[in-house]
Amino acid sequence: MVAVLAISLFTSQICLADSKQTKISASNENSSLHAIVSLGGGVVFSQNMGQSQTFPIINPVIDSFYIYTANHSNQTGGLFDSFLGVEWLFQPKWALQMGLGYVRSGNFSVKGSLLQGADIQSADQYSYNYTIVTNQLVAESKLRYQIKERFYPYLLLGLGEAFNTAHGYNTNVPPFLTFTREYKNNTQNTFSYTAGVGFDIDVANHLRLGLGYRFADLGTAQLGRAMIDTSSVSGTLSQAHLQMNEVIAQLIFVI
Amino acid sequence: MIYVNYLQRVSLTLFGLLLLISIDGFALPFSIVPTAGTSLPTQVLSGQTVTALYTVMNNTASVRVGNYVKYLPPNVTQATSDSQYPDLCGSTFTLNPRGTAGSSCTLELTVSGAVNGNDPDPHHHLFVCFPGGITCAGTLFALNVAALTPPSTNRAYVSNYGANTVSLCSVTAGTGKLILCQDSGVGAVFSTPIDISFNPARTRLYAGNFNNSDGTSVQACSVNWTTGTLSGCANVDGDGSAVFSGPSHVAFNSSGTKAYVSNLASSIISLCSVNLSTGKLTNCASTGSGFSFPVELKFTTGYTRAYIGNAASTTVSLCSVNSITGKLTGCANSDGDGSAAFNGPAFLAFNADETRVYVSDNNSGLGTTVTLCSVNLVTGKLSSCQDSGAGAIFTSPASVNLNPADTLIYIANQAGTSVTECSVNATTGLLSGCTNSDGDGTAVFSGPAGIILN
Repeated sequence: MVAVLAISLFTSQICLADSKQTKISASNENSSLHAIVSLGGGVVFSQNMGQSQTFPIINPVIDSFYIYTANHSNQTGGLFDSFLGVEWLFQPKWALQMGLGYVRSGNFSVKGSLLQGADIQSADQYSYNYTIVTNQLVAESKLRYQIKERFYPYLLLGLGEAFNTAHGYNTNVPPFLTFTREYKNNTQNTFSYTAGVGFDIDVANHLRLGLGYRFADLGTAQLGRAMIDTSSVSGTLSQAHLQMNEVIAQLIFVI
Repeated sequence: MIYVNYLQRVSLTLFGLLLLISIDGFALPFSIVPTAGTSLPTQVLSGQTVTALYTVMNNTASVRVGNYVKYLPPNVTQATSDSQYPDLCGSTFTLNPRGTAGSSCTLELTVSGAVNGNDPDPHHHLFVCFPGGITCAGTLFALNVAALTPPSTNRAYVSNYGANTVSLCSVTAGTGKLILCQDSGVGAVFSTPIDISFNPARTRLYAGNFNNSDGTSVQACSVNWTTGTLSGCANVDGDGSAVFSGPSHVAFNSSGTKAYVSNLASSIISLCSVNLSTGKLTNCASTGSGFSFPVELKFTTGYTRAYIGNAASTTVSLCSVNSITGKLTGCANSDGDGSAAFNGPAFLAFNADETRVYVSDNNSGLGTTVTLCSVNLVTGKLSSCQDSGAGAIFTSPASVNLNPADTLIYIANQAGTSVTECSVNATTGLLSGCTNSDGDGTAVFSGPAGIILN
């Protein structure tokens, strides 16, 4: 977090210092400021989906225990990426893009086994699953450098908020044989950051293609309020540090 | 950390697998299964009730206090007091740890209407819970009961002992006269049928092929509720055990899962299981003792007592009924004051509140009277037996049957061709105004022995 802020400040200072003395030229444009719109898609890889949790017996007269053991599976999904911002040429070969980015990643399934019972003797094992969908809105800063007039390797940093929706909790607990914890859907708003590298390439006067890698920490995702039959109970299933590795291809419009 | 998590996962998975292997199903806090020796009811007549018995067992290793039934299907209530079951589950109940005495109780449910075993709402299924209602168990054996509504038209079926047939008559409202009598639709497929009876759902009519004491089979016919006619009569032996000796009568428990066949020629009562789908009888075995040419068996007081007419003696036997196994026990003479001495008693009819019984003095073709006795509701003994008031007007009276209002009684004259109809005094129970029930000249039978109303 501190590092991200430091880099952002550093790049901003470069922009201010250089803006007075640099004749900006890039991509055959005379202005030093350009609007940037990009749309992209890609593949997202997540690791260790799911988090094992135990809800122990609090009152032995009335309670059962519930032990959730997550599969910690690695999953691949799709993502949609968009960006709206400005590009500032502060050196003949250096530019800084700043703006607002939005990323939506595909459905990630959290799966595992559930052991529930009033004691070990009366315990039964079932399976459970639910789905996580993330939406990330970040302030992005992209520092790029020009090579051979057409290639622009870059570093990217973003800070913002993730909206992680956990929904569709399901178990194979027979509904006519026993009750189990049921969870409401829930959207969790949490601090999020993104860091990445990549390169863009000019393909036309106002059009670039980009390919990049990003790491995103989306914070926490958790299901909502838990119910057993008609009674609310404390605790819910959650996943701390939802982390994604993303490979993105972008179509960038320079206006 | 990852290694620890991995070990945890492996150990829990192995534990779960061991659990599943060891219990061959679900463990759950309770196991709820039909009580051994009983079957769950599948049908109930409108306006009546049937009973379902479950055994609820504590599956945990500790004493569980304050358990209760949280949910029941619609049309089902829990019976919390019944002296038949000392281990009856109360409104709340305590169960000892599994494997110890007192770890289970009998859950008695009263079904008064249809129950949909596939109802998608879990709250319409049986659930037994710990206090608090969040640790609960249901049952794999869901109640699934069809409600049946018998036809509203009044009909009478009369077995013709001398013609191997069953007649079907209409009963005239008010007078009770039998009219429009005709063959029931299956012709002479029976063999000297003495008595006939319905299963509790009234979907089948059972008749023993007495065949002059040489018969061995019981037949069942399907009943068409629209026309009243019979069809598809067939031997009900389901496993080779339903082979009898002069079968004279078939009685059923309330749920229709057990049948009692009177073997007149061997003087035993056979207790059989009934396949509710096919009507077949299986696992037949002797039950009770001390009978002498038993004919009709009637239950009273919620199927806890059975009375059997001993046609070759002067007594009516009184037995207790084990509500779980259905077995007859403690059979003895029902005579409570020395007055219950009959003349070849064969058939019985109790009034609605079971305070009176009418006994036909059949005496193998020689009897002429019907005897009226009082019933001690506590002991079941018969007392103050006397002539019914009709006098010696019958010709070997066989089946006696009261109408639902207890205002008329029908007596089949086995040694004749008629069914006699008498009025019943509501206060004394005495009979009067006995006449031939024939209302239109068609109620002429051939050795009428059994008569049942529908």
